Amino acid sequence: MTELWHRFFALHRARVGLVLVALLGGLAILAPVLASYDPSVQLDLANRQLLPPSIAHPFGTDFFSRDMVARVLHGARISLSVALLSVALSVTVGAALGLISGALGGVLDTILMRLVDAALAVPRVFLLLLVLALWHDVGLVGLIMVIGLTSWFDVARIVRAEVMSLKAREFIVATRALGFGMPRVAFRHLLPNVAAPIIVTATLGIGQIVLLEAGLSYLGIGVQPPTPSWGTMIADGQALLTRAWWIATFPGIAIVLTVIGFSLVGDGLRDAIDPQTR
Amino acid sequence: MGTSLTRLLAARAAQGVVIVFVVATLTFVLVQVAPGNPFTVAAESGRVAPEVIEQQRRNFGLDRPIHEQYLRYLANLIRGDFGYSFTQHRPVREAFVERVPNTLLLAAAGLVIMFPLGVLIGVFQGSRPGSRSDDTLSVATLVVYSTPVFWLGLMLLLVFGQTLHWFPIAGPRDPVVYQQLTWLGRVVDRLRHLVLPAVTLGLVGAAVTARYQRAAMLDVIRREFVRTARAKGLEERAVIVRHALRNALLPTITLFGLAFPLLLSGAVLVESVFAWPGLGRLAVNAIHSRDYAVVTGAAIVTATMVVLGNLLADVLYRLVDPRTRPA
Amino acid sequence: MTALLRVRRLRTTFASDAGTVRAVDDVSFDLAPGETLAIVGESGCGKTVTALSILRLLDDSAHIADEATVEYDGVNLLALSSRELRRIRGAEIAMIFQEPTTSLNPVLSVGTQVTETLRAHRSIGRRAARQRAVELLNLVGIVDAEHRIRAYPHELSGGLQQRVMIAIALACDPKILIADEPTTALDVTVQAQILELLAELKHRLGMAMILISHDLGVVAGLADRIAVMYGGQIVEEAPTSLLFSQPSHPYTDALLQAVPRLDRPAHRLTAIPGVVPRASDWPAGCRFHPRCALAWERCGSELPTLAEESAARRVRCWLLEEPQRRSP
Repeated sequence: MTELWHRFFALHRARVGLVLVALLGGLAILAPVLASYDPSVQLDLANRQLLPPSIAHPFGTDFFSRDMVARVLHGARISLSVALLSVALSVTVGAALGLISGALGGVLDTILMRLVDAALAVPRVFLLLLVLALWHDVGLVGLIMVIGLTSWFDVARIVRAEVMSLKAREFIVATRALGFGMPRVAFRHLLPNVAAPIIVTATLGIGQIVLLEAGLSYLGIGVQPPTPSWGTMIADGQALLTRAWWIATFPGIAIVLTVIGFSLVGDGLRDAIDPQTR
Repeated sequence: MGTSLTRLLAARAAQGVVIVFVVATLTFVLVQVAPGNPFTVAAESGRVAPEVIEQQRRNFGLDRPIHEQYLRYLANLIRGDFGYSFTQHRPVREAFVERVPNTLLLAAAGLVIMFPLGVLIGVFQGSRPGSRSDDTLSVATLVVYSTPVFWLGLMLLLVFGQTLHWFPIAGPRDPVVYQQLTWLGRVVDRLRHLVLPAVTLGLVGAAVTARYQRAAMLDVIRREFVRTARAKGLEERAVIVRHALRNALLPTITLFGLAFPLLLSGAVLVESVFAWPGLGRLAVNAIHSRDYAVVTGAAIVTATMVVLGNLLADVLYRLVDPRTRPA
Repeated sequence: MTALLRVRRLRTTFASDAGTVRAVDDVSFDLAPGETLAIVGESGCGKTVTALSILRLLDDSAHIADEATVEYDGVNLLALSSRELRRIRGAEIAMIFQEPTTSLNPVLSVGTQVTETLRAHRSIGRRAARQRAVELLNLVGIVDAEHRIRAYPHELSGGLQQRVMIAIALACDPKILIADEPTTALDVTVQAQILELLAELKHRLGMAMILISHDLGVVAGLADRIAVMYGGQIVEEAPTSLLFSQPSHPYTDALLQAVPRLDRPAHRLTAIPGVVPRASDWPAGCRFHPRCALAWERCGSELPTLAEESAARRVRCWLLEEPQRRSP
């Protein structure tokens, strides 16, 4: 395990990614402290509407004279929380279903795998459109659940593949013959093999979900106002693009940096685990 | 190639049909499980008379037992009947016929940009790993790959559309002048309107493809048959192209299959940025007005497109890699 | 007689996380026209890297020392431009590798891979190239060559694949064939067939061969001379019969002891104690001394030079100077 950390830290890109992620995480957690203003307060509709970036307002103000720095910082909290919680949910569900499916096999496995194939055939956004159309007004928690429950397929496949390969290996038959029960087998043999790829998938997944949530919020079906989300800010900024470019630009940059950070960390982990590919 | 290949492909096509069938079933189940019914909004709005609603319910067979509804639903789907859109006041199928080609055009244009560009960059990087240009390109692809596609579209729109005025900023064609244009003028107009949205999709797609292709090249170039090719005294160009590249393109063909869902998802967002009248925008608008038929239909249609795309990729792969052909 | 190939002071190093890997450390030998030289040793001794260094087929991470020379027909291959080197590769000096399955391009037909070599070095038309390819496949003992020429590598057995590799190598009548463990990846019966084929080709075509192997048994029938490598260096070089009947270096002796022989009374096969040291960390003095039963203090501090024991043999061992220490 420590050797893995060493290999990880040796990679320059991984260090950069880690710094980015830590920075963003820190900013998100400390948002209320760091922001000079409250993100939802309309400061001064008469005078402080749509101000370009300045010392007082480094990211400018929006149509409702809200400070953009505060909004972007608080948006970080929302986007990161949604992403982290969704990924946690998807990993849990995926691992559980993959384990069951792989271990029990048979009809259950076939049905589940066909379901996964079908769900993967529908493009992500359309799938979410479908679910969110049917369950509207879900709130933040609901959104996390919806995203989490539609993102578990990769993890499930990984776990299932590992379980099936384990089932086939002779030493498992031997341990079963010796009377070891399934849970012990699962822990000592399944977990180590499966942990690494799951962590990589999860890390990269966080970045993907930040993008997904931003897209949904942009379309108006993700995070709902007044909760600040980078996606909704960009949507707000679209109508005012020529007059006030900063409203759409800074949240976008924030997204790019966040996804870069998680991608670098995820790639770094993948290279640390499997050093062959450079 | 022969009959065994066609049999294999027929089997794959059959699997595809099963998948579409499962998708249709899934959507049916979801609609049943979801709270409310397709008519809640219409009823609540008060704009539709109760007798009409009751009539529609009977038309949709909503008063029949579930399994009858299900079979009816499937039968309709096979006939291409996706139901009625009460926001569009016409059958969903009509709306699709009008909108889907626009989305396909956008996705195809995105595909045309993303693959050649992505492959070129990936091959270039893969044949000189660790070099300055490789590192620079890696950073570039990472940044683009991490950019939300709708934001990229907005930025491109801001710079090239609204600031530089090089390209139009919305729609598939000029709303005013189009009618008066000649045939050639119309093509040019359409192309001009296609550029920004297609480039948006294409750039992100190219970043994904380039990363994939670079990894494939690195993997192949290390392989022993590349060393054999060099030992034969072949020119470096022949080594790279005929030996390394041909093998490195194989995984890219599988990427071709994965590209469809990505492009279609991206299209939804890009259509919203550029007011492109496609299936994505239709579905998004339908959500806000709870027009279920449109949204479920869209899921099924896009799933079908993805399945077809995968089938195509499968055929291509088998054509190119002799190892996958049955003996 | 002028040597066809003269390798002098070959030193190939790799940069790695563990430090500089001195894979080949001062190797020199000659190869006469039509002669078969075998380079033998355990894995990690540097024999493959030596072969790859001759044709400069190593990765960019490898570095061949400036003072090294590889003279082919009077020309230093290490100093040639890429273009000039390409003309030698495949045409004058050809090489075949250990794993025929991965050494052949999976998406090209076997025939294409043969004609490719021909058309790269000779101005020869498609038809004529194809004709010659069929002839070559026949030469290496592939039956039904006319049809096999269109086959893909994965459709052929390991033995056939290796024959194809040999055909590719022989396409332009090379003067030297370098064979890196040509039979290691094959079944035992197929091994014998390939070795027979190589022997036959050697006679028929009169080409020189450098045969690399970890198996003394494999080279016994083919080689005129054998160079034993250990620790990136040649430790003994002698004509085959002499080496087998009177090994001089303790390592050679140990290797022979480890080979089961039918002509001797059965005895326990003695494994050589210890392990092969890492190429980034050669021991001081004689590299074999930690595992040598006859070693003494000098062996641990001074690296012996490769000295001429007689007109035919060179040995790298201090026993040469103190032969009395041989007898226990």
